[in-house]
Order: sequence, then C-alpha cells, then structure tokens
Amino acid sequence: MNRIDERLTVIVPAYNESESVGETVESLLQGTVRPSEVVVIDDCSTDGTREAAEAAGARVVVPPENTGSKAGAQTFALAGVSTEMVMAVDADTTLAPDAIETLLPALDDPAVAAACGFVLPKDVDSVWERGRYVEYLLSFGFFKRVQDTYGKPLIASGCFSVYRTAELRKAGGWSNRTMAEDMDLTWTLYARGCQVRFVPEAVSYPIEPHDLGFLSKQLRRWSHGFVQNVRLHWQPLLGLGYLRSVVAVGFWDAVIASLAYLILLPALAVLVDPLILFAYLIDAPVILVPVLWQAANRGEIGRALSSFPSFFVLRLVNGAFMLSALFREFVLRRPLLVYEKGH
Amino acid sequence: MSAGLPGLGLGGLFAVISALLAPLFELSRMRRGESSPDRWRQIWRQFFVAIAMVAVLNLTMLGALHLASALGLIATAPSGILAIPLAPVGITAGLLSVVLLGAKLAHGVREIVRALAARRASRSRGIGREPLPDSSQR
Repeated sequence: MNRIDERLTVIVPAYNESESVGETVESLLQGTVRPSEVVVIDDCSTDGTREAAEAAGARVVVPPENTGSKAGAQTFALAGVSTEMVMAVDADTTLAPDAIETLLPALDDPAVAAACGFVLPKDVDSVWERGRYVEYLLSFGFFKRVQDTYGKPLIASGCFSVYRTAELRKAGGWSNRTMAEDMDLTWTLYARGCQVRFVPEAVSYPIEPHDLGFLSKQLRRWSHGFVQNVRLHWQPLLGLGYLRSVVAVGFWDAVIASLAYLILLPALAVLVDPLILFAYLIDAPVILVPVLWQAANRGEIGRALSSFPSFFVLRLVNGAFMLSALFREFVLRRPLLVYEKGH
Repeated sequence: MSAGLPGLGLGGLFAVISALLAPLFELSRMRRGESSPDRWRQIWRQFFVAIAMVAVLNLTMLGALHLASALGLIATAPSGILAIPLAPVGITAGLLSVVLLGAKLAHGVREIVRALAARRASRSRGIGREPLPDSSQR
C-alpha cells in the first residue's frame, strides 16, 4: 500500500497521447508515494487521450481550445492547483516506483524552488534511442551531477520535475516565449534567487524518438530553445557565476564543435588525410568512463557498450540541428515559433 | 537536453576540471557549515570519475604511441608513463580560460554600464527635484 502525499499535485500535459498516457498515470499512482491528485490536461486531443487517462485514474481537464504548446497546457492547469508542490510529468514518461518519494525531500529546503530527476529512455532499440541512452548516461550521470555540486543544474528537465507552487506562480508558470519552456523556467527561477536541485536517484523513463522524423522535431525544438533562452536570459545569466560558465562553454561548443564536426573535419579529411576522420572518435575512451560507471550501477554494461557507437551518430545530427538553429535565429532572424511535438 | 554537444569539447574539459576542484570548494562550504557526508560522497564519486577519465586518456595516448612506434610510424616509443601531449592540453585549457574570462568580463562590463546608467538616472532625478530659486532671497 503506497502513501499519499497531500502536498503534491501532478500535472500531465497531453495531446494525442492515448497510447502512453494510461501507463504514465498508472506509474504515478502506483509508486511508493503517490500524489494527492493526478491531473491530465487533454489539450483537445482527437485520439481518445481523455478516456485513456480517466480509465487509468486521473482527473482530466480540457482547455476551451488547444493551447498550442506544452507550456500553455501546463500553465492552464496550474491555475487550479491548490497544493504546496506541483510536479510536471510528460504524458509519454513513466516513473520508477520510488521516483516521487526520492525527489520530494529536495524541496524540504525552503530555498529550493525546483528539483529534477535522472532521465533514461524507456525503449532502447533504434540507433537514435541508443544514442540518446548513452547521451543521458553521460549528461545526467556526470555533467549534471557536477553542476548540482556547484548548485546550478543547467535545467530542470520538463519531463519530470517538481516545483514549489508559490515560486512557480511568482515566476509566471511555464512560458511559451521559447521552444524550451523548462530551460526558460529554470533560468527564471535562478534569476529570482531560487535554488534548483538534481536528484539522480529519482529516475524517469520517457519515450525517446525512435526514428529520424520524430528526432528531427525534437532536436529542432531543443536547439532553437537553447539559442532562444541564451538570447532571452543572457543578461541575468552573466550574474549567475557557475551557470554563466556552463552556458558560455556550452554555447562555444554548440558553435565551434558543430563547425568542426560538420565542416572542418570532412574538409581536412578530403584535403589532407582521410585518417583525420578518426578525430570523430578521439574522445570515445574518455566518454566511456562515466558512461560505463553509470551503466555498471544500473547493471546495464552490455546495453551501454552495444549502444555506444550510436552516440557518435547522434552527436553529428545534434551538431547539424544546433548549427541550423544558430543560423536561423541569429543570421536569418527567423525564430522557431510553432511548437511541434516529437516526444 | 545538453547545452552544446556532449563530449570532450570545452564543455567536457570544464566538467572534468569542475569535478577535480569540487573537494576544494566543498572545504570552504564545510567551514561555513553547509556541507554534509552525502555531499562529500557525491563529490568524491565525481572526483574519481574525473581522475579515471584523465587516466584513460593517458593510457589511450600511450597505447597509440606504442602502436605507432611498433608500426614504424614514429621513430621512438614513449619511455615514461605520461603520454598526454601537453601542448594541445595547454591550448585547450587556454581557450577554456578565454571563454570563461570573456563571460566574466562581459558581466563586469554590464555591471559598470548598469552602475553608470543608475547614476545618470539618479542625477537627472536629482536635477528635477532641485528647488526653484526663491526670488525673495535675491
């Protein structure tokens, strides 16, 4: 029998998620700690999302018209939340049984306004899912842990994070002014003097893009979202010490590493020596250390090793989308404005 | 999502250096009474992962150099156990410093601009509030 935490409401934005939302709601209600209520915002779906969510035990609210974005649906639901804490979980994400129980204590500290957990792909089959699996082992297993040590995780991931409701409201909820509402909210909270924590023991499993079509939509959103947030928040970011450094270095890599991977290395391989192509793999042994360390803790060394080559394919694709976003946002001045779902 | 591209770009180097320096920063937190055994556990874990990353990089370089020597691609095999070439590491670390200092400098410039703007604003407000000369005192 699980314990109900009356301080917590979980909101699940959903648009045409009938295939996954039931499992998401069930994982929320069957954990070792369950929220007082699970609210699914059915953003005018046409595929029976509402029925699937209700059948799984959620309360469903429907906005008068499609809000057009995840942020819009979440902020619509936030108005009706009366609990001290509110958790955002994507409709394609399931939680480990102890995820809520493990994540909530981070908010015992009154200075902490948000906390996020570890993310791993639910399915690890296609090359894209495998690449993402390794990327998450590296990013959440090493980078984000280090950022948390310095008190500045880069982002409280939108697929699984908990917020202090009052602080979330003061920050204006989730905004749709960028394509990465979770990054926007995290940096807004930092600028307001709030703290954000990363709790690696709390694990969630979103469905990641299984093909290049879905992946493209997601990467377009993420890369434009990053560029838009840097542009929007650069002034307050400058005063945020360690976060300023993380973003500056990340932005540098987004530009220079992408140019090197996609233009410089192929050009040098053609003009100088084909062996230069080995540079794509030059950091492979070093990356393998934190990836295997994290995988070993989960008993997944075989899966990590077999997925490892996919990471380098995904990294090239990431670079292409990042360069495209930089060019469109800064040079062409054509920002991405339409939120297109792709997991 | 990650900022930039995850790997051993400047972001990777910055994370490794951050992990290696974390025990020093934690000491200062400890003096302020803001540390905990759980934090230390996390910090040592990251520290040893970072050490292992550096060690693996060195071993990889060492192996590559021995292989190149065996194949006759280079004249002499490395004699010691340190094989990480210092010049590229120095250049990368220098580049990282430039990026970090550039961001810090931008912060400093912004603070100066803000301070100047605030001073200008308060001065113009002050001028507005200055009492008009009293004709009876003339």
